[in-house]
Amino acid sequence: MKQIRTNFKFAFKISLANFIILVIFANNSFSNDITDEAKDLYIEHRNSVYQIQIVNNATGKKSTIGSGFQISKDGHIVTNFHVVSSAIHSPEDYRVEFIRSDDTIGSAQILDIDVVHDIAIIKSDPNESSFFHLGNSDIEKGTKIFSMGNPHDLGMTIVEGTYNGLMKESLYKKILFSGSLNPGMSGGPAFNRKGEIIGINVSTAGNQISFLVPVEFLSELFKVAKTKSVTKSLSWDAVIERQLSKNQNDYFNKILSSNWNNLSIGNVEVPGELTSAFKCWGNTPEVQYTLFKSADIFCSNEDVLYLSSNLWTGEMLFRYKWMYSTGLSTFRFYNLYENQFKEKYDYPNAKKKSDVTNFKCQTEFVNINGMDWKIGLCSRNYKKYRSLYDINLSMSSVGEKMEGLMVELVALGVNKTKALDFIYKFIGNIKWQK
Amino acid sequence: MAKVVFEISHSNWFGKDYKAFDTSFISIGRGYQNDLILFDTHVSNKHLLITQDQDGWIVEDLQSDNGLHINNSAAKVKKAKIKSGDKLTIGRTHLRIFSPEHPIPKTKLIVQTNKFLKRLSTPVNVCSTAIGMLLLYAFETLYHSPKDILIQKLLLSSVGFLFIAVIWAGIWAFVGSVAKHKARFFFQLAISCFFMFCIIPFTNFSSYLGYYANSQTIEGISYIILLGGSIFWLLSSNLLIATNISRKSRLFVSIFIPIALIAIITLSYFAFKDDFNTYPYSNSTLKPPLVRSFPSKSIDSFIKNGSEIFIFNKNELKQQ
Repeated sequence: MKQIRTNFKFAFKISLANFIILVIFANNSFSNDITDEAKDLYIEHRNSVYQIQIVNNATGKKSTIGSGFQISKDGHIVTNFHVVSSAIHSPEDYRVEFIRSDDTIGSAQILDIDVVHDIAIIKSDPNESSFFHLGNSDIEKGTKIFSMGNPHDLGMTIVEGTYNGLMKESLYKKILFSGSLNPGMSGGPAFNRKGEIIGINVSTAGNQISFLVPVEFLSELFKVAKTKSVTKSLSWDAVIERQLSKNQNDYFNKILSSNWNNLSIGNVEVPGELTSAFKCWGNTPEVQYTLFKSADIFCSNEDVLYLSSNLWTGEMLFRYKWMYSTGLSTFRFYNLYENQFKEKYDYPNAKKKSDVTNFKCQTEFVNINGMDWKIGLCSRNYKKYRSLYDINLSMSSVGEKMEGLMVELVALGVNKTKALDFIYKFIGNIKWQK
Repeated sequence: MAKVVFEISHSNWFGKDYKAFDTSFISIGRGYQNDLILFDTHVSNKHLLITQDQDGWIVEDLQSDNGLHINNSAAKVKKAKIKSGDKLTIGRTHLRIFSPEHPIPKTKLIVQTNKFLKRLSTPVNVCSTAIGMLLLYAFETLYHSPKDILIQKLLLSSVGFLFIAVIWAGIWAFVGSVAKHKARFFFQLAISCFFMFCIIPFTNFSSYLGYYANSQTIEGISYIILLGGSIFWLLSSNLLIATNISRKSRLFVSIFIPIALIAIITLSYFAFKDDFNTYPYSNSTLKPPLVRSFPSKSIDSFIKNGSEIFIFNKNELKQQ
């Protein structure tokens, strides 16, 4: 599996936690001295933490491993959505099993999911195992917390670390946990000294930078889930689509109602950080020619929603490229300008025909605040979640002979109305300064 | 300049065919070694030999089975002197022999097509076409480069294209030496250089046209017409110089090959059109703002039209 990250030629390597713990191999593991406190907590809770494995029905071999923990005596077990996603998308091919601390195997059914916050609740038969109580994540920065899980299938471990508050600049609230989470620990519990759940292990950016899903989202989901019983005929696609739609609707309402920070590149004023979740980076290409110059700005929200190993969504990014001639004739300049314009974002978020359609495009000349632009607008539909589209807006100024700005906007998993509203506001904010 | 033109007709055919020859000796028969090959079972393998004379031609029967009749006479002729306008009958085929100066419009036409090629193939013109082509390709390389390049390097890069032209001309010179016992390499070189010289402005013209009309269809059609026309001209000229095949067959071959190429390209476009790809292909041509041919839309009408790209049909949404 690959790292999930943006694929721009000039996408910068500085990037926050865009990736899922399962698909990342962390750097050198960090060894904590196991204090007695951790030892006591481990002994107390080891029977409520499980290894979750997704087993292929045809071969009987596991295809994915993660961790999980029990939160009720009725057998409710919590893990990440991304751990059990293959069992959700193809229930006929995969089943969910969990392994207790004494190596006995139990089977479980998926009860409910929160795809936006990457939580899944699975249910096994009621049992006598001890279970965790849910706490809250509103605690002081610097508080010592503990995380358990089964890294790289090496056996159950406990990791000590520090609570470092909620990430302010993320679209989806996440706890920054300074401790080492490793692949296989996804879905494991993070708890305080009293053994109350603070969050769920979800991802890492390596080097002790790890992320937890705040427990509040779990409490909310559990409130509904505990009244439910397992129904096999349930279509998870509809549930996922509903959750994604609601999420993107709220998100776009927030973007559309906020005041955008405008940037300027060359002669043009353009939208910059749309909300605090966006970050912009500036760059001048390493190879510079004497006959023309260029400069880039790249902005993205750095938040992705994992749907399956072949599909993710929720991300938005846009780039600007300013080019001007310092010695080329207008014909040669436009030839280079055209070559740059032909390079489009190659959507890495969906690589399978079963997930999305091909792009459908149209091209127009549009006058925006006094300047002529050539605009190509493309969209492709998600096949399982038909109200959602991936969007590509790619535009280039065509009114000046020796200079020009190219803009490319990529938005994943948007509905039609919000996409058009957003594009309307976005292009309306592009102002060519005379 | 053609030296002799034949008007060929057959009792079972509809219409007439014309062929021009520029050699002093023309052999006629059913066999492939002949200059004028007749697909008539009543014609012998080697039937006639026509030799140019001072004010006409001498025709000689090469001991054929069915003999030679001149101007509908019933008598078989072994050897005779003929003049422009005379009619020869061999087997069931009728041949009228014309001098290019003969006042019949069709012979004029045949002779005229050669005029441009004839002029193109003078040593001065062959050289200037080749040099022009070299310079044009050098300019084209510079046009696509972000930095200035030394003229020597530019010329070196376009020598490759000249090499292609030379190989193409070589192939046809070989065909010519087999079919007509005359290679005429410089003639062929002039044709291939001229062809390569033309396709660059044609390609650029199409993409400018497509840009200002904001239509890939117009760009495609213009490209097909210009490129198809150029290939047609190239092949028919090559064939004209290298072979003695009839005008009909020449037209057929030179129309058929470009159409077949276009058909293959169109077919492969439709064959792969629906294949899955993750790339948003939109019309991305950009040209300098020289003419304002397009009316720019307002943002509102752009957004209004934008909803069309969100419509996908059942077939496109099929999961497998």
